[in-house]
Amino acid sequence: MTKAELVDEVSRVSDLTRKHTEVIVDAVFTSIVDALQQGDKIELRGFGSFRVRRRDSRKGRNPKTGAGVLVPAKKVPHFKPGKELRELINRR
Amino acid sequence: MVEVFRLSTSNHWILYGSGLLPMTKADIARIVYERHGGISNREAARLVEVIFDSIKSKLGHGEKVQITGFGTFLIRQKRERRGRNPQTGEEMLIKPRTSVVFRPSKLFGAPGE
Repeated sequence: MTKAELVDEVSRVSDLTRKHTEVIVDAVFTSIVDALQQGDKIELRGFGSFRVRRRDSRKGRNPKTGAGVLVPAKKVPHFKPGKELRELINRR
Repeated sequence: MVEVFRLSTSNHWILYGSGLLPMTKADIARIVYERHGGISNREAARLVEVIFDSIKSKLGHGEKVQITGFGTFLIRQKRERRGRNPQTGEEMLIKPRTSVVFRPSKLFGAPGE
């Protein structure tokens, strides 16, 4: 499913136009990105949680030249599926 | 920096940026309500629920979900492997299972800086 298809689905169960629905869908994901950028955690009951994880610096290699480089430490967004979602996908 | 806000939709205080309290669906619904302007609080909360239920149902059918500018939720099969009970140190067999992984979009930027 793409974002466009998600917008279609949400617009089908509301009285809103596609354009208005898109504003809402965008607001949802932007709010999550904003919260993570502030270092906040997001907990969505039944779905899962998002938080920022620190990845340590590591030794890597330039795949073209083979030269060793140090990949700097960075922060990456991490998603942990909630219990309901885990159970749902393991039912199949 | 820690800032204190009072939520218009509820009576509790949240310390944004403090990492003390997580953002919840209610917080997202409030943002949706404010950004759209033309729907009720209750409708905003319902649509937030619809969005995550819809993603969940697609993942439940083994379908990947790709949200441009945010990221992709993928279904991954994990193989059976040997593990240890971290409390007892006892070795055990971990059954094969299905898992959801999230690949953040490159547009995500560097979080938490």
